[in-house]
Amino acid sequence: MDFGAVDLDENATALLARVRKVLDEALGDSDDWPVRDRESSPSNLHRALGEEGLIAPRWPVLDGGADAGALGDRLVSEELERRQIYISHTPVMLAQTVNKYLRDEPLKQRIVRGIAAGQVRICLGYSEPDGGSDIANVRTRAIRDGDEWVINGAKVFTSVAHLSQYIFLLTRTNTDVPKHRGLTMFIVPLDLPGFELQPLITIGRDRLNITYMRDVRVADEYRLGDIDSGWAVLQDPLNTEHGIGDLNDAGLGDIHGQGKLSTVPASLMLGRIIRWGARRDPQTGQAPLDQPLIAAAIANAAVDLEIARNSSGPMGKVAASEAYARMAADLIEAVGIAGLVSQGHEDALEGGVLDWAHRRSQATTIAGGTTEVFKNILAESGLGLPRQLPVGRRSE
Amino acid sequence: MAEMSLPLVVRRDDFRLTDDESSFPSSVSDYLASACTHERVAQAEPLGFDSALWQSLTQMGVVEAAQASDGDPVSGLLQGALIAETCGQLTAPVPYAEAVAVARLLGTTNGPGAAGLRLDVISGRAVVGLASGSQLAGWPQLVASGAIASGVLGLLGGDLVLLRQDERVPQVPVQGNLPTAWWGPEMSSVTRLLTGDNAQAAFARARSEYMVLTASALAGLGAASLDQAAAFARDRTTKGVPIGALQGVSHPLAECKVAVEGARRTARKAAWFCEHEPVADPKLPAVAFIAAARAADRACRTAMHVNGGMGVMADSESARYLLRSKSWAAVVARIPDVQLELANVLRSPRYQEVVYPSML
Repeated sequence: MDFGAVDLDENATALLARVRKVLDEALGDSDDWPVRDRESSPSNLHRALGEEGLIAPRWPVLDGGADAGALGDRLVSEELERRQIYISHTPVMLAQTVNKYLRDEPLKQRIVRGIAAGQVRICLGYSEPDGGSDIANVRTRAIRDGDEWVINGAKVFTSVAHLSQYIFLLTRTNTDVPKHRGLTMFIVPLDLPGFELQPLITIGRDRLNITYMRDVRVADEYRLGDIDSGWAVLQDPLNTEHGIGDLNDAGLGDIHGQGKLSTVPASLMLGRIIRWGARRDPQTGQAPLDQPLIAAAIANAAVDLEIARNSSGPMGKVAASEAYARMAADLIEAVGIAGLVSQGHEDALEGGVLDWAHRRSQATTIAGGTTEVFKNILAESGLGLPRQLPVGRRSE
Repeated sequence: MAEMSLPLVVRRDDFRLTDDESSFPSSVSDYLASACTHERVAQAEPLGFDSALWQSLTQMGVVEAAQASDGDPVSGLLQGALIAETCGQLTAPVPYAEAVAVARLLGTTNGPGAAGLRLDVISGRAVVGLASGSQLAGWPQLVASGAIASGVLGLLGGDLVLLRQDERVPQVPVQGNLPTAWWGPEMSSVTRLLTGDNAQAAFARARSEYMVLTASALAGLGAASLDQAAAFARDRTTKGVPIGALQGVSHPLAECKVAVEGARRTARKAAWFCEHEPVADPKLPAVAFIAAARAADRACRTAMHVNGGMGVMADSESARYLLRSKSWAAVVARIPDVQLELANVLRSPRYQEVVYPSML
């Protein structure tokens, strides 16, 4: 085990300076964390990071990265996190899939280089209006027409679609076989005729989308893997999303995968509420933390957060997302109505951090796979329990 | 932003154990798996102490391995945490966490007789307890190994003292069969080992270490209870299917698994920091203790429920775990006391200014 501080050599220090410079120039020095979220993470920031090789810091310089290893990844992540900026890892993660399954070399190069340059963002086209967590239950149809495919259907809750250039699209190409066998994956340019995005605004003030596809015609070069083999193509991205695999990187990696989407904002929330709790009233000399029940509530939140931070893989997702939502609710109890003065109002407590976190935390148990999906994984792989009972199969 | 100018510290988050780190705890685990059977645990009741088992373990060097050593990079509190997990998993009737914390505390003082007593604790020749209640708890205290101890360390009037009694102190029976007994200064001879700030700092550190080791033991206990319940849920059928295939059964178990493993890892991390950088992240011992106490409680109750009527039988495996889940934590400290201590630590500016989220 090792939790020691890492020595930052000249290269690391130089990289850090580059990251800070890019972020300072793109964002200014305003402390406007509440309005920064992954959906509004601005395109100019992506391009600015990309120009410095900082979208994919560990890729070779020739491929558009910074050749900065796991430490480079970590330094970039920490700088983004403390500014509460989330840069989606989806494009970098999908670059592997694109490299492995796309056959057209120039197209492959264009997409992968575009990812590194911060010019290509990719949204995930899995969930459908009737879908739920059974992502193989796909109705979006792709029908072959010569060298092209004609796609019709709809995807829901597609985050970042309005800022993306491509959609990683799961389609049904065969209805005569069991559902997992009739699927085909595409990476489809979103500027093709037939796409229509309809915004969905969440209680956390994120923009998601319904992505409609009406007779979208896409060339066969955009197909990933073999026809009807989409389920196999999907496995690596799904495992990454579920935090399965080695995330360690000698202690420098994101050990709890998706959990960071919760622990980073939860850290900000807790820090601000501790600051509130420690501040003494000038008249009475008393601080909220002098009250044992408030102290206990804040202590409990700190326990929740630390446990979440130390949980890895699928456990990280469950621990962190549930902790985040619970912490927000419990800290509001402790702080009272002042904590819910709307963000943006001059009376907002600590920038309205509780209003912000209470809204935003709700989606974290749902997005990227519901916690139930992760609990199924844990029940089977962590406890050796049988697969969950498929609906409709009963002995009675 | 003012925080941007603060110095940068990037820490590793590497929970993987090296072969050197896992080697000795694995051999202890192998030994206990064969020696510390369900029957042997039951035979040690109601005292809750198996003297022969403790002699074997101390001769293997379990307490020694958890002492700080300049010459050996592996020995230290992390070894203690890993061994405590095993003791918890097998509900070993031995005062392991207490002995490690006491021996480490005795190592910080030149007080009269401390060095010799430390060697006796390490070798199993003497059992010395730790009166770990907070200053709010006062005296007398129910000490976990009080009924088998010849002495108890505690804080009295701000001084670190060794209480001694020639006669064994009678056991006060508690749930889970700990060898608890009342100890207080009025019924003992009192030797001052440290005074003033040094005494309070040394005692606070020992109490933190006791909490960390107990957290590890509770995580081991909770995990064992879950494993038993999962095995039962694989075999037990209802309406033709294993109950473990039902999400009403599997999801509560999975949630407990998350809680127990989170507590286990946090206790290991806390042990690492106690050993190597005790002032770097001082919230960890309290966090690990509270989390593990709650995780073990939840896991053991859930596991018992999964076992149904079989679970509540007096001699069931799940009863063996559940009846220890509360007393092991409660004998070390009251949770509200620890919460208040934790809140005081959190007031420090380091936890208000979130320089790097990973440090909070």
